[in-house]
Amino acid sequence: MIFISIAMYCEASPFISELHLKKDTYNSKFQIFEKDDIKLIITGTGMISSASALTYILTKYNASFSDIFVNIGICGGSDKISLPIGTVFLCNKIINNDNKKSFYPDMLFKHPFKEASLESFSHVVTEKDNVQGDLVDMEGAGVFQAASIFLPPHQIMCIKILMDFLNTKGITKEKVSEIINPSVAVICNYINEIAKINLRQEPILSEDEEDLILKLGNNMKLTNAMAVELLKLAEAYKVRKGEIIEALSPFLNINCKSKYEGKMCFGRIKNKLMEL
Amino acid sequence: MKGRCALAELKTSLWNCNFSHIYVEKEALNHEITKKILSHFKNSTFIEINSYKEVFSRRCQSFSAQKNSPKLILAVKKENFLYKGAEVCHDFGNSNFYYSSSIMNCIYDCEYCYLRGVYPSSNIVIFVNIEDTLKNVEDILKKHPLYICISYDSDLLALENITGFTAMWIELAKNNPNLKIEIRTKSANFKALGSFTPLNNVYIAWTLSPEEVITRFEKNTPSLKCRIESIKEAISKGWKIRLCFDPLLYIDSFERIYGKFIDYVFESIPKENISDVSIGVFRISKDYFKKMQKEYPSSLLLAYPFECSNGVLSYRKKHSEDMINFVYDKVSKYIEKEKIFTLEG
Repeated sequence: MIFISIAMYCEASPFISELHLKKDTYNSKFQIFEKDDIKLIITGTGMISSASALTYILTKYNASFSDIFVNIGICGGSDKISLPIGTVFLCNKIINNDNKKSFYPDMLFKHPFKEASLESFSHVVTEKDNVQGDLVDMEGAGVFQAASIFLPPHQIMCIKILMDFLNTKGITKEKVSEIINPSVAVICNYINEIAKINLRQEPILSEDEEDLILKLGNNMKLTNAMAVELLKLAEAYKVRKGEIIEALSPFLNINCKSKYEGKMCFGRIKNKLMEL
Repeated sequence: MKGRCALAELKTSLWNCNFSHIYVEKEALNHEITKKILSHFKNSTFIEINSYKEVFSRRCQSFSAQKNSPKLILAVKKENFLYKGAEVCHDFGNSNFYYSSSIMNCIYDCEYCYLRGVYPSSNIVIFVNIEDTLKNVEDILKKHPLYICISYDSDLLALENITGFTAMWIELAKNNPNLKIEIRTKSANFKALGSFTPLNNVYIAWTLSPEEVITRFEKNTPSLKCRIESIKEAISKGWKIRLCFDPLLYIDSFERIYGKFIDYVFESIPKENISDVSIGVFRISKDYFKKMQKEYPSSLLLAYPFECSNGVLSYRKKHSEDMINFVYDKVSKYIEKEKIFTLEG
């Protein structure tokens, strides 16, 4: 699954069109747009709003370690940046201005963007603010911290498009879409490329095998700890021998009357699964 | 098949190169060794950090994913300059056995390596203030002699060209005869020490494995032939050499593969120049093993039904004994028995 969070609709609209996303009309708390395995959520501005929205969507779709999360949005540039408006950045460091805590996405993959540090503020930043990061926004640190609870740091990306140099005068919704539009295709292509890399370890046991082993554990009245041990032994056996069902077939009809009897059976299965 | 190849190619082309990003602690920024290391990586992106733990100890990191594109972290060590040697490690009859950890993690990627279970990240941390560790050692040496393994949590010689740490340890050993150091390595980088005069209190310890094991389980490490060449060079200069057949791995055709390997090693290098040999089977703390297995669930090496004794997992007693005895017998045909140290699981 690819999760995308964007603060405002005017920032999201070019991506919704490019990715052909449709609105999920069943959600009243947040606007969610989706297609197949892409979910895009409009979070609202600010670190708390965006972290809440992100937590909502990652929980709702039961995010797993192989999923990707991308925060996309406009940002301001500090005086350390001398690149034109519209430049796209992949953030390699994200600072929360409120508590000065820093976050670091894993930069494992090549990308076509510039890199920079981002500092997230709880207010609109002006030239008077003391800015540590190369870029400023109002969401990055909040979403990164929230996403880190669910996903590994190489699956979390923060992509920012330079909108202004700490002077927000004259910025309209139309202007935002206009600045973002030229970069939409390259950002979407990149996300799709990254999503193709499947680093997930395939589970050793198939769902059917796991169900069978859990059922076997129930039939033997195993404690939770023993049931976990049985699964671990079964996994290791399958890695060694390439199969597990045949090994367990003599035990599949077991139905123990007591925990004591179950313990005895478990001992026999353990011996079998520890064969080399 | 075509699709699979395309995907594999895509994977390769998408990874950033090793050390594409270097994280530097603020406190380490102006250190001479930091400057020296950074001068080797002019194309890398430098990122300033407050503490190495901000990057190294993040939650939910994938050790295996990071191994595809490891980063460098330069930091300042504030405490724990020396650790007491673990019981699962050989002390070779030395008292006051310690090890130091001036680098955490290794550029190699061995499937059995305990570092996979120790650290939350496979990024490499270099503590640039090596002088503080050396000073600490000098202070202790005023009280009693020390035996220190300087290359346990990394392969110092493999990184010598960018750190120069091994050279600094050798310099310390030169000035302190009551210090004995062991430099353990799988590298073929002896040439980095070529200009030094050999010392009686410095052991260069090569971990050797059969080529079949290197290819299958010791990713990114030099071949057996390259390691042997490096050993021969060190011997020719007069260094004390230790050979470590450790860990022995329980593999199919163990006797055929290890038998041929031991013969090859001792036929290739002058055995009279070997100071001692260590033999040990794969063994690991139960807690580290749990983490390793979680990160690498399909590892055949880790799928063995291990036995646990005092919190340490290893092969069944019978297997351990057979493996050790076999290798011991083979080695003792070439080396005096009193020079052979064994450690079962």
